[in-house]
Amino acid sequence: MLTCDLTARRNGFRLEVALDVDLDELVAIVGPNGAGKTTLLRALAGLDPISGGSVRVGGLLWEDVQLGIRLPPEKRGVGYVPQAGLLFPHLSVLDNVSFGLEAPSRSMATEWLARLGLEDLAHAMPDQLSGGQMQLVSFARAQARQPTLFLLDEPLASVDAANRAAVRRILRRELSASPAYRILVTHDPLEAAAFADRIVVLEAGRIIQTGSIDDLRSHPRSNYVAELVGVNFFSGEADSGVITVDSGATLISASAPDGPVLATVHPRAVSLYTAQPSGSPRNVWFGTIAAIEPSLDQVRIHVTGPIDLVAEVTHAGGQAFSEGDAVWSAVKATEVIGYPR
Amino acid sequence: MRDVIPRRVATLAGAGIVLLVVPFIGLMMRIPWTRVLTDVGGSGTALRLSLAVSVLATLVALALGVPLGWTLARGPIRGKGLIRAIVLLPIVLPPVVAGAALLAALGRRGFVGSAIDDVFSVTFPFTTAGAVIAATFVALPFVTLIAEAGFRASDVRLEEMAATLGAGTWRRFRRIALPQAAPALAAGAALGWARALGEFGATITFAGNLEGRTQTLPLAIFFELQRDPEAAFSLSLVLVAVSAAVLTAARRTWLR
Repeated sequence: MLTCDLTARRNGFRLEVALDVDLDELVAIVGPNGAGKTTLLRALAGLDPISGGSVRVGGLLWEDVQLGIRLPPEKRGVGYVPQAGLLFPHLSVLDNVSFGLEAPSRSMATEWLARLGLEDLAHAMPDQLSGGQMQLVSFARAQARQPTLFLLDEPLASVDAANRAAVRRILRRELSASPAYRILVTHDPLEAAAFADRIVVLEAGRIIQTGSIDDLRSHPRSNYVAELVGVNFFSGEADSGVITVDSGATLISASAPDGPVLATVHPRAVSLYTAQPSGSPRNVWFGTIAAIEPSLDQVRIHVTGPIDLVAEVTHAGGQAFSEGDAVWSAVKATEVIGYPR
Repeated sequence: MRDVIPRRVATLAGAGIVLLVVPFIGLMMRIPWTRVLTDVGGSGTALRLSLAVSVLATLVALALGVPLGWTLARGPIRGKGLIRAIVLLPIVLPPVVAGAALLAALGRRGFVGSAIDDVFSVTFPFTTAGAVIAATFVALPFVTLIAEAGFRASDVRLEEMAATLGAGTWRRFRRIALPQAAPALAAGAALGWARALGEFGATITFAGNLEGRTQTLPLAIFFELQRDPEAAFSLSLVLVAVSAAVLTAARRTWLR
C-alpha cells in the first residue's frame, strides 16, 4: 500500500492530498492546469520537500515532516516519466537506459529496450528520435531500474496523434504487467479511461472526487468533472422531485432525493424544437442558441435560457439550427439524474 | 521603416573600429617577415615557459573556477552577489595592483608566504610557481563567470531526472551538469587561457623577470622592445596569432 497524506507548497500554491494506492490498481490523477498534479508527483518523487504530513510506500516511510524523515529522490526507487521525456541529450539511447542501473549493464539495458521494440535505436542520440520514441525510451529508462513506484506525467502529451495509439498500447501493456505502484497524471479523460482503474480528480490543490470513469460519468461532483465526461451538470435543492437550482429555475427529476442534490442530464437526452413541443416531456425551457460546435460524429449545441444546456445531435439534425435561433429544449424527468450532494 | 544609421553615430562608430584596427596594421607593417622564424626560435625559452605557465594556470583555474561557477549558479547559499563581486575583482583591478597584493600576501614576508616558507621552505616570488599563481589569479574570473553562465543555462530538470534514477549529488554534477555545460566550460577555458598567456603586470610585479623561470612571452616582448624592436614585433605576431585562434574557437560557443 502507498499511503500519502501530505501538504506541499510551491510558489504560493498549496496542495493538500490524502491518497492510498494499492498494488493492483493504476491510479490516474486528472485535473485542470494548475490543479497541483505535477506538484503531487514531484513531492512523491522527493524532488520537492513536503511541508506537512507523510509519504509511506510499501511499509517504508519515505518522508515524514513531524519525524524529520526525508529520503532523497535517489534513494526512493521511483520511475519518473516526465511530460517531455527529458532524455539526457549527450547520451545515446542505450546509455540513457543504463544510466540508472547499478553496475553499468549494457546488456540489461538492451533487454529493456528490446521489450519495447526499441533495440534498433540503441545507438541513436535523443535528438534523432520522434516524440513517441523519446517517451518510450524515457519509460524504458525508468523501467530498467524496476522502480517501486511509477510516476507518469502526461506520458502522451508530446506524442503526435498518429503514434499515440501505439505508444499508449505499449505503455498499457508494460504498466499492467508491472509489479510497482502506478500513478499517472493526465488532463485527458480518454487517456485516464484507457489507463486507469481509478481516477482521482484534483482541483485547486484538493481531491474533489475519486472513482472509476463510470462513477465520474454518472455522478460528477464538480463542474470540471461534468465537463470532463461531457454531461450537463446542476447543483440545487430538491423537494418531491423538483430541483431548484441557484438561479431559481427548476428541473423535474424522477430520481432526485429530497435535500441538497447534484444532477446530470446527458446532452443526448436533450431535444431541441423550433416550435413549442407538446406531449410527455416534463421539462421544457425556451432559450437561445449561443453556440454550435461540430465535432467528428455529432454537433454540440449550447442553449442559454432559464437553464443552460448542451444538446448533442447528429450532423443531419444540427442542420435545422443556427446561432442566435430561439429554441425550446425538452428533457424527460427520467433523464434528469439526481443524487445527494 | 528600415533603420538608418545617423551620420554622427556612423562617424564615431567608424572611428572606434579604426582605433581598434590601426595598431595591428602598424604591427604588421613593422614585422620583419624574413626573420620572424629566427626571432621566434631565438625566444624559444620564453615561448615554452609561456605555454607551460598559461596551460598550468588554465588547468588550476578550471579546477577552482568550475566548482565556483556551479556554486554561483546552483548552490543554495546567500551572498552570491558578494562572491560574484570578489570573482570579478581581478578583471577590474589593475594587474600591477594584483601583483602587489599577491606579493604582500604570498611574498617571503607576506602572512601566507612566510607561513608556507616556514613549513615547506617554498617561496613564490621569482619562481615559475609564482608566475602560474599570477596567471591563475587573472584567468580565474573568466573561467568562473562563463562556467556559471553555462550551468545556469543547462536544464535543471535533467539533474532531477538523474536523481530519480538513483544518481547522488556528485554523480549528477559529473555525469549531467558538467557535460551539459561543456561548451561553456571550453569557451571559458579558452578565454582564461588567452588572458593567462597575455599576463604581464601581475607577473612582473609578483614573480619578476627571470629568463627561463618567470620571463614569459609578454615580458620578453617588453624587454626586447628596448633592445631589438624588430624582434619584439616578431614575437608579438605569435600572440596575435594565438588571440585570433582563441577568438575563432570561442566564437561558436560564446560570441554569438
